[in-house]
Amino acid sequence: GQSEHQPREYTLTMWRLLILSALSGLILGDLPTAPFLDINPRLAANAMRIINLHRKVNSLKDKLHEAEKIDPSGFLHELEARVDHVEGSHCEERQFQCGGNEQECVSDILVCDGHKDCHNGHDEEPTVCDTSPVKAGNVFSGTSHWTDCRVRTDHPSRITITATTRRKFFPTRIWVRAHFESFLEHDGKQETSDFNARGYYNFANRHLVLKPDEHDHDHDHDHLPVVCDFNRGDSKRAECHRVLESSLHECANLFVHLEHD
Amino acid sequence: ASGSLSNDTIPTSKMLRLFVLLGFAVSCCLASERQFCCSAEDRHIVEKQWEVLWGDTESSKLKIGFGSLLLQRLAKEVPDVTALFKKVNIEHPESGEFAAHSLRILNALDMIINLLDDPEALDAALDHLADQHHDREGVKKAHFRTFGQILHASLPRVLDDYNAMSWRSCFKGILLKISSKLQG
Repeated sequence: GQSEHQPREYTLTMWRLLILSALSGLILGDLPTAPFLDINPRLAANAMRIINLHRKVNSLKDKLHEAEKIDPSGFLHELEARVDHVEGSHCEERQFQCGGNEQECVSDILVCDGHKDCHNGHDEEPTVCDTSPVKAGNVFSGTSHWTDCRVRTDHPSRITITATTRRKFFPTRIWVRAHFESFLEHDGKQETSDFNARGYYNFANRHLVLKPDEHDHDHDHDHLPVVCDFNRGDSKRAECHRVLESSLHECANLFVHLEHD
Repeated sequence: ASGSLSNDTIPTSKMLRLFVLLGFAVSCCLASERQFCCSAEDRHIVEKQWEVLWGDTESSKLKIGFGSLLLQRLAKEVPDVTALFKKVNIEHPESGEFAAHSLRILNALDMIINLLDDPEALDAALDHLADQHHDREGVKKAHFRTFGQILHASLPRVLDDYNAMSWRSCFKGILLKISSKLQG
């Protein structure tokens, strides 16, 4: 809405500056009776320059807003994360790659437990132990695309993190509660299929597991667990799958993005 | 042998196996949850196994041959059927009219299988087929039951991989829907 204000603001500024220069002309001039005939030309020229500068500042503001949209460092992080994924970590399953020049593997249960297990201390670094992916209140949304298990057309889904706990004596996992919603269309009517889920977040592989809560299990619906990987180099996006609990067979994929309220 | 009922099994075991299969198909279709009867995986299996037939440019020959075989078997099992296909010259199975009709029926089968992934479109297509059969005087529900049996007996003869469970659970519902607007 800035561009709509601009012409008005611009004329206002112009008038202000003209009056200012007129007043200064009044103060400085010898003839107080005819102020507008006697504007100091240098002041008037300066006023024009200031008006120009004002316009440039406004266009710079717009450029800053544009620049926010493309974040080179975030883009590089994403590329790095994607390449890392293709390269593989050279560690066994359930192990964490310390990285750097050392290239050593430690068990994922030692990551972010408050004790340095890697020689370079990478397993306790703030970037690794960042809890922001599963902050309570986070809402992730995306489109579910089913490949197996259910005959469903693509539909939107939403994951809301409702509560988290981190035990002082076992800080290497965050225990998570969440609410999962799917917005389905059935015979032309919109209906919501939702369930409460609980699970955990693993720092080592940035992996979130959410299973339907057995305490409020409704027996009419057999809800499938959700697993998410924050593998895009940030805490805003995750690649998720609906899976069968026993075999971890992937039934649907959904790429979710953090919603901003 | 993959689920095919070969000729050298003893009749009692064959009967028992059929009975169990049919019983399973019925019970699965009566299940409250729709997802177990002709599940997503069942549909994938049917599509994959059906696709094997159309690897060649001469697929129309195969379709015509298979289609006319199915219809002739139906006419042999249920003699009244011959009269129903009089218009398409069933007395001369080698004729152009009957070849074209066989291809029509096989193409409808192909369409149904290719729509398995889209339940709403499948329902619409089956509804249309039901209307078309409703307009034919003398077509009965029993004919479709027999056609289903012939189909399940013939498919394993042309398909090396044939999952009888999946095909049965899907085609039970399909044939029921096509014959839903008929009497008897």
